[in-house]
Parts: sequence; structure tokens; C-alpha cells
Amino acid sequence: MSAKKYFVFELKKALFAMGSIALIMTAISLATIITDYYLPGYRIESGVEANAIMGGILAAIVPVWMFSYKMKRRSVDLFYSLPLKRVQILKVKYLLGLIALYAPYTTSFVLSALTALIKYPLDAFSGVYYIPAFFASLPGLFCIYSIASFVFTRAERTVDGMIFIIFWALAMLVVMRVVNNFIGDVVAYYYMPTSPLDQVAVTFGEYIEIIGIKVHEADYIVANMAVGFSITGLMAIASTVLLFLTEKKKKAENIGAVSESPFGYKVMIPLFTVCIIANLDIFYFYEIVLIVITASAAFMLSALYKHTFKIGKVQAIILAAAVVTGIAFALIIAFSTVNYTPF
Amino acid sequence: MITASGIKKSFGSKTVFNGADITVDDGSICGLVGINGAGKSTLLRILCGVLTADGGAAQIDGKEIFDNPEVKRGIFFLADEPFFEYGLTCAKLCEFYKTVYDFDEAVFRKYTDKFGSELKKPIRNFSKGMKRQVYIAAAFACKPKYLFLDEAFDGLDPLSRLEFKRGIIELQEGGTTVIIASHSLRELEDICDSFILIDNMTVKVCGKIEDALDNIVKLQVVFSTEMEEKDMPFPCMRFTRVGRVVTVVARGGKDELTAKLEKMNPLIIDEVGMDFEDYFIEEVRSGVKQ
Repeated sequence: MSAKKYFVFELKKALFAMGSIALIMTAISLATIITDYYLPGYRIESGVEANAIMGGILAAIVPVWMFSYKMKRRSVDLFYSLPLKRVQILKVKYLLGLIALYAPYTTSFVLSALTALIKYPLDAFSGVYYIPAFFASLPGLFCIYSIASFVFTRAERTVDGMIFIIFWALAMLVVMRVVNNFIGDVVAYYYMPTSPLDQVAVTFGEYIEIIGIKVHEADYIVANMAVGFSITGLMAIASTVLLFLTEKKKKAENIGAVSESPFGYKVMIPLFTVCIIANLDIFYFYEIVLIVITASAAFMLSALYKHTFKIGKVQAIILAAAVVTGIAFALIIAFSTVNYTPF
Repeated sequence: MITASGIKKSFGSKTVFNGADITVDDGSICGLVGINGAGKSTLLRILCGVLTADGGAAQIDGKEIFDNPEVKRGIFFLADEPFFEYGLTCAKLCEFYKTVYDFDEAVFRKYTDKFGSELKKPIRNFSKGMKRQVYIAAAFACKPKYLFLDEAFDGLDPLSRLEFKRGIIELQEGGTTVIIASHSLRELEDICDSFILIDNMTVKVCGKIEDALDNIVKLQVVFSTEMEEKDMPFPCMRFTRVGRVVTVVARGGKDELTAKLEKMNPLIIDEVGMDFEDYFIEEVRSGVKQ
């Protein structure tokens, strides 16, 4: 009963912020439709793409809004001493996050669709595709939100959590690019958590554009989309399950301390270092500079990870090993005979 | 009843508790004392279910506290720096606590009126003491069975302290058990009947203030010759000497210690009164000495 009352309280409290977000999203989306922002004179601006982009960004930001209570000692002292189970508080925040995501998105989408239908002489057949486009975009938003929620809550500080969200938005991209360099025919983009949402918008655009939908994609692209989207979906489901399963085990005393989760800096810094360097064309001199820049960025992130520039011997060895491994991969890729498929 | 047995807690390599035991009887007001960093806040956070102990068990009425809403419904924890969201007003705070506690708005209004808190003003604009006043009013309005207060008197003016102490006594009369962590030992002495002294990673003393003060004596003795600590007929917690005037603090009853000193033919023996603050200082000093 308390959890229900608490949810209603939180919902009421969030209404103003949700309304403001809906207003901003709608205003931006309508502006793109009214001004034909994307491709004036050629492309019909449907509002779906603008909403997909804003929805994707919102899906990554809402977890920061909802779960930052877990990153401050003062708020933890308040929330964890309440007569509510931790999982109940998490459920309330998670559900509220979904509402804070879907309510402004739906408002903006519907108003954009109506505006576009009034502005452009779309036939009923094209116009009706707004409905499947809307429902198809919802799981895309869910994937981004769930993955972001899980990785954000692995951190002990808000700033760390935000960096973890960025890491996971790009992790599959950098990994699959390396895979592509080895075996070819891999389109890394389709493995990004944002890809399903983006593809809904792109496909919708193709439906209502004069050029018609492209149903002629090469088999390897279709395969990449199928595998990529499945992986993203599975990651989203796993993230949601793990978010709740691990809630009770999270120690309140670690707040503000070094974020040691394997879903964060610990694994991501070496992974990104290896993958980014492995993707460089090692035989060009200027790309050597990029190795230095990558190593420097890895060092800066390590400093952020450890809360000090004295990152310690172990982390320094890990960084050095990651750079060497990346160079080794880059050399193997450079000498291999596999055809390179551009990203 | 609040019980904790064999509590162990470490933060990384730093051990805070290495087997702490406490018992706080129902309806008592208990002062939680210790030097800075002794672990007072940690103990309170364990007792209200924010933290889990690495070892041992903390229970209220024989039930586990951590993640147990049934037990926590009777607990209110007021942290040293209470959390408030941007834009939160007293009225909204009131609404918030109504969702999870059996909140008595009349009590809240009674205390906010006494403290002169503005209900519609954002709490972020309040001074430290004013913020604490609002949360104290909320704590009283929740009518908890167990009230845990961290650095309770911090930032409160003398009048607010008085109202606060009155409020706590009213709650106690209603059956509430209160644990107050504070460095204001004189304030604690005014209202507390028992205390917990944390020192050296454990609970050094847990009991009645009265008993503790009865069991430690400070005597000023004038001898005909200069004396050293080794000459004393009992172990001293503290021994100071200025010429032939010796001040000793020792465990035991006044009569028993005086009788032993009489055998040394002193010129004068005087008892120096000790309050809770003196007791605390002597206990902590004796720990350092050991």
C-alpha cells in the first residue's frame, strides 16, 4: 500500500518535468516539420525521425534522473531507511522512468503526426503507417532505457554512471567493427542499442517518401539487423532482470567510492582502447598519433575511474597491455587478406 | 528492544566495528557517543537498515531490520545532513512522509509553528538549523516507535534545543525509544537515561548514565609528600600531580576508594563532581592510555 501511495506521490511530483519535456520535444519536432529542416524541397519531414532522436536521448537521460538517488549518501540515508523494500523503491522509480519516457514521446509523436498529415498531402495509406511506426518504436526506446538504467546503476557516482551509459551506447559498435575487420560482412551500426529505434524511423521515412521502401537490402545487411536487434533486445531484457536481481546486494557504503563494476571502467577502458586502436590503419603515420590520443584518453578515463591521476601500477599495466593488444590486432588486420566492408 | 550482537563492519581496509554488542531497552532515551570517526553514524545506519553489517546481527524486537518494511514502519532516521530535493517545501515534505508513515499533520504543524518554519518556502533556502527544525517536526509527526537521530543538536539555537528535548521526552512518554548520536554531551545528559560509548572499533560501554557516573570517581588529595601514580593503592584512569596535590580518576565507589586513600594518611581528600562529559573524556583517555 505504501509503495502505491509513494508511486502516486512521485508521479505527481514528476508531472511538471514531464510536461516540460513533452513541450520541448513537441516544439522541436514541429519546428523540423514546419521548416522542412532535413532536406528542404525533396524529403517529406514526418516528425518520426526527430522524435526517434529525441526519444533515444531521453531514454538515456531518464535513468540518470530516476536513479541518481542511489549515488548520494544523503538520499540513500533517506530512501533506504523508509519502510519500503529497496526493490519496491526501484520498481517505483523504474515505472516512473518508463512513464517519463513514453508520455512525452507519445505526446510529441501524436502532435507531430497530426501536423505532418495536415501539412503534407499524404494519402491515407501512407498516413496510416504512423500507427505501426509508433508501436514499433516503443521497444526501441525500452531497449535504450533498460540498458542505460542497468549500467547507470552499476556506478557509485552520477558522473561515472553517465560515462557508463555512453560506454554501452558505443561498446557494440567498436567491438563489431573489429569483428568486421576480421571476418567482413558485419555492419557494426546495427548492434548499437539505438539502432532498432533509428531503423523504425528510417523505414517509416522510406515508406512515405516518393522513392518507396527499399526491400532490396543485401542478405548480409538483413542478417546483421536480425542478429544486432536480437542482441540488443536480449541485452535489454537481461539488463532489466539484473537491475532488480542485484538491487538488494548493492552496498550503500560504496556510494561515492571507486566504481569497480565489471560493467564500467574496469572492463570498458581496456575494451575501448583495444578496439579503437585495432580499428586504426596502422600503416599510416598520422594514425600513430591517434594511438597516442587513444592511450591518453584511456589514461584520463582511468584517472576519473580511480579519482586520482596516480592510477596505480595495476591499472597502468592494464592500459599498456590494452594498447599493445590493440596494435597487435591492428597489425593482424592490416596483414590479413579479408576484404574490408566499410562501416 | 534494540539488540545488536557481534556487529562487524569494515569500509574497505578500514575496520569500524570488530564485534560490537548493544542492548537498548524499550522506552529509553539513549545517547550514542564517541570521538569523531568512531562509528556512531555507521551504527545508526546499520540500526535503521541503510547499511548491512559484515558480521553479527542487528535486530529490533527480535526481527532483522535490513529490507524489512514491517520493522522499518516503526523506525524514523534523521541523518546528520537530511536529504531534500530541489524545490521541496515543508508542505511537500509533509505529503512525502504521509505516503510511507502514519503521519500526524497536526503534530507537524505544532512544531513548525513553534520553530517558526515557513511551510511554502523551499527548504533549500533555509539555514542549517532551520532545515533540522523541519525534519525534527517531521520525525515527531511520524510518531515512530524507534527514533534514530544523528548529530541531533547540530545547528539548533538554544530555544529550539529546548523544544526539541521537550518533544523527545513527550515521545518517550508515549513509548518511543530514542537513540541520539551527538557530541553535545551536556544536552544528552539532560534527557538520556542510557548511553552507548563507541571506542576503538567496539562498544566500550552500554548502560545507564547514572550507573556509569556512580562507578567512576574523581578525587583531589593533598599529601604531606609528593606522590607518584605507582604509589596509589588502586589503578588510576588518570593521575595528575601539582606539587603535593594529586588528582586521581578511578573506577569504583567513592567510599571504597576513599578508604584506601585514608591508609596513606593524606592531609585532605575531596571529591570533585563529574558530569557525563567528564566521564566521556576519562573513558576515552583511559582507552588511549591502555
